[in-house]
Amino acid sequence: MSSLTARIVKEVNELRWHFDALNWVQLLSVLTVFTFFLILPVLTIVQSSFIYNGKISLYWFQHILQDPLYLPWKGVEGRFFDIIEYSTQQGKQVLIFVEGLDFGIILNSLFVASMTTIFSTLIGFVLAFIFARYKFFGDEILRIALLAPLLSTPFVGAIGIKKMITSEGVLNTLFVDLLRVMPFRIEVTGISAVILVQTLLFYPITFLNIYTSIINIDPSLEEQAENMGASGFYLFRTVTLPLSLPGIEAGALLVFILSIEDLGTPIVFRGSNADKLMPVYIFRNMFTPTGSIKGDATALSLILLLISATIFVVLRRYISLRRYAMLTKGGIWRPRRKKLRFSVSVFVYIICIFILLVALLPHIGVLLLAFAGEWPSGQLLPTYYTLRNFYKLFTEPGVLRSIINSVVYASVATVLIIVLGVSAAYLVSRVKVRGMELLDTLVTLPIAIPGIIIATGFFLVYLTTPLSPLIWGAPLLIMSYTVRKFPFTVRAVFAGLEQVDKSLEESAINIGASRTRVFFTITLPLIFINILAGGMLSFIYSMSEVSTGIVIGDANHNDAPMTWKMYDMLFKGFGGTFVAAAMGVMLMLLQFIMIVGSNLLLRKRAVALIGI
Amino acid sequence: MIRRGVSRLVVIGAIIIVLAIVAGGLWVYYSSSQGGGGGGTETTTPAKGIVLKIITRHPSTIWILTKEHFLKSDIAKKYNIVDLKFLGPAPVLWIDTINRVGDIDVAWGGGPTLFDQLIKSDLLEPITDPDTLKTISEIPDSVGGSPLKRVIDGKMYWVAAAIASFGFIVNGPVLKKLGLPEPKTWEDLASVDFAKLLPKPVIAYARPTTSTSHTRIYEIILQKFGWDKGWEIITRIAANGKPFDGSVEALTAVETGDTAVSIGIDFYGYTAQIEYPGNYYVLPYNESIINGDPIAMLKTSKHKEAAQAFIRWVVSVEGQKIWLDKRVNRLPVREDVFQTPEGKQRPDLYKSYKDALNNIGIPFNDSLALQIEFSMRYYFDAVLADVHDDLVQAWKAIVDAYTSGRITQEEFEHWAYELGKPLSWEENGEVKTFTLQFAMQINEQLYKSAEAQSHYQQLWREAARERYRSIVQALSG
Repeated sequence: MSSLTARIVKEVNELRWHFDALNWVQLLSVLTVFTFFLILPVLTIVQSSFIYNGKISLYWFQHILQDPLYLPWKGVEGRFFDIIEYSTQQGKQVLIFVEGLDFGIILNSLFVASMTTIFSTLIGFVLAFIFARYKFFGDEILRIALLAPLLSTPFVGAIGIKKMITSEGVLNTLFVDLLRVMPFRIEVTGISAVILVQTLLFYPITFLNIYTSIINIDPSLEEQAENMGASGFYLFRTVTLPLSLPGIEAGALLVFILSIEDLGTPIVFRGSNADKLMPVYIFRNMFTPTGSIKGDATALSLILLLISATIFVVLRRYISLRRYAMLTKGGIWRPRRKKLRFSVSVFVYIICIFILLVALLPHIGVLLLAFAGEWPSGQLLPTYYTLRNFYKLFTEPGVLRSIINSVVYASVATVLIIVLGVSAAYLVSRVKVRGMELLDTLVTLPIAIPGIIIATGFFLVYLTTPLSPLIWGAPLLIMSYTVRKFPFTVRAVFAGLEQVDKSLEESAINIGASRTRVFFTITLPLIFINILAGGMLSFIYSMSEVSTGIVIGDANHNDAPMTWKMYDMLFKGFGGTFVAAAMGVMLMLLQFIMIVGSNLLLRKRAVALIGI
Repeated sequence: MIRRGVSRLVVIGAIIIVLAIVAGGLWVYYSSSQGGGGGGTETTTPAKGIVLKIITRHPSTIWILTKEHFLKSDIAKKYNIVDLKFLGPAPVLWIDTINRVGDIDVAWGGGPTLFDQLIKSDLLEPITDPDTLKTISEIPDSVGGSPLKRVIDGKMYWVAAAIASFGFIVNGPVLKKLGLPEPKTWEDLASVDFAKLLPKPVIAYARPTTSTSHTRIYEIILQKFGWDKGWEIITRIAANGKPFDGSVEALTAVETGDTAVSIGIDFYGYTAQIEYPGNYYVLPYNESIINGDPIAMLKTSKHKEAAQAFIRWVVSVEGQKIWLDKRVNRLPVREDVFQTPEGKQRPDLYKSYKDALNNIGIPFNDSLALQIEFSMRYYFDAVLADVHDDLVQAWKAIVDAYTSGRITQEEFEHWAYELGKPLSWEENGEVKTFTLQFAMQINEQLYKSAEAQSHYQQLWREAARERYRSIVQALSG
């Protein structure tokens, strides 16, 4: 007993020795924000999914686990594709209608995330290998162009590509009606379309991660293997591939999490089996028509959370703050890059340009829509072009307001993120006390928590409080941005801190400066660039946040952010596609400026920052 | 030394920027939470004056137009109403929002169903102001058999501020491209012609749990054709199309050419007609009704006089002009607005108004619709939307067998009836059927209990799945 007391006293003393007033303020403010706006909402979901008829029960889980709606107990529904023949005035038509099988809501989500991960990793690996190992004319430009999908805007990208791949879409019109090179139409929809769009959105993440890990492979390892006679595929299989595995795993797991929590893409393909994906189902079924919260939706949220939390545990090895700093210190050697023969580089060009064209389909679609005056379906291009849609950003009711809302919320959130993020990063980096790993986990955790769960949790916790989204939307939206986009800034700042020589701070302390004074006069100025870059990323990702934006926006249109307005115009308003596309173009432009800006600021340190 | 100076400058600059952003944010936020509703160009509210709070299903276009016109009106000046603040939550959140916010004055738009629900929840305050009642008396009590006022025990709970009919919106070019005939009736949408592209859906509709207007359409079909036949037609329309969340999503599908037809409320069609050339609205003759879209005062109102004055303005000739705006296109509740200069500029809308009034409506039993509303919504969701793939396969099997000559017309009709007739299922060793009586019996339970909803929906889904699969089996080969 006494030994325990002694231990506690010792621990507290040690804490007091390590912590000064500033540190306490930092720690408490980070913990407070995360407790109220991350832990509490999530715990409430956990709790409410165990309540049935007012009692604690496993009813909702039993219900979900035995209902064929969620798991394929009655076999799979639907067909992978159908060939439909029909006659019109133009004669007989053939349509290949690809929707994909329905395995029940839970397996559907896992299936979509797995497929997206596999396809993105394949594309990412091929590209990463080409660009890390070969030199050819224009490789830098091509490499950057292939990252274009990072400029993605919620809904609009998927709307853009939807315009391309429906039966009367641009591709069918071009290849079937105009060029007549295809004897049949293809329409991709449902789960298949979600996989297609997500792959196009997410492959840059695997590409970047794998690229980084390949260029960081110590060339001498491969050289030694070559000296001992290994070459070609054998060398690749036994040396290169295993050494690039960390990048592959990190990229793939990240894509998996992003795919399984994605709400923006499946929403665009609603009315098909894309409705039967976890985030969409939770979003749709959170409330009954009489306004009560449904237990099966919260229980399903918990299942979704468990899946992404599992992935997060695996992923943590790669994305915790410490690991991240190590990654950025790599790359000191000259990577082995061969020059490609002309004929091969032509081949590489063909592959890359094909991927690029497909990857840019959503962007091309959005750009055309934004400048379109009129674009009937079954027509290759818009009838005429106009700037009217951009003009409407300022005149259409509610549009400008939603943009202002978004800018204000994102700005306030960014300030909070910077203040709290710098605090968290500083504590993890500088205060060597046991338990700081927990803080590290806590602040990277938001990556693993699907937005729809935070949104649902916010509703459960705050619906009957003065912070109710029904009364005002701003506080919860700001806090959701703060918590959800926290990891971007905290990682950038942490990297900066690790690169600053600690002796600068120590010498200041030695000559009598207080730690608080050192923090403000030495540390902060030294990592200012990192703070700025991280803040820019958090700002732009806040601007394009979907899940909490549309859930809270639906409850309070006045205070809704611009993503809700886009959603509202696309699915709930009149003739809003073009104006929503114009908003999308604006957002893409802003993303472009911010991402390029933060990259310029951080230069080489930026590689692993983007895309999460 | 220079480096240090630069850093310090940068820090000071950064702090200034941060402070500016926070201050700006707070200012904009503060002004927006005061002003409400507008397009971001609010003026600050004078200290003394009434700000009316309105909960509404109307889109923000109507908020802005109303604000603009109403605040200039004499009524606004007389009652010192200086601003309108609109709240637009989804219908599922209305009751919560009204209780939570605590001082909302007026509820406006969202269909009679929603307003009757508010009466049920004891949230509406009867209108008593003589001037307002006088203006209301200028509005007919009903059109085409549908009430435009809800009077209970002599008290005026709500009055219609607009009218609407129910039909479908057609995308002409897509219809032609797909080689589909022009639909005129609900049966047309349920026909074999509209099944020729299956499993590609050609009709958009909303799950009734997400749309009050589509709920009304299914109720119309059930009352027009009777319970069993009604469900058969609804089932076949559902199989020819695909379910969306909400009526406007369904509308978007037809506007963008995703589907050839969307069922829906008339003003969606009028707007689509203007914004998307080639789209048009069809009012199925003798198969629809006219609905009044209510406005009412809430019990929570802190400014009861001003709230009633606002209602008076909305149903006056002046207020009714809002509906004539080309971005709104709704049918006013009074014909005399078409005699005004603004009204004379909308002969198209006047024609639609006449058409709607001349359409012989079906005798519609409002209270019956209310008695089965929740049963119908959840049943539809489970049986037609949740197991949609299986439904489509079953309907396709019937259609294929019929068009290939494997079954006769008579057999086709038998199978079509089998597909859509109300389900039977076993529960605690007892066989139950979704009859009209049963639907009425469990309606209240489904309204109140999320547990009951999940329970029945699961039973229904499985019974439906079994039925659809057995039809496919019976007709394959």
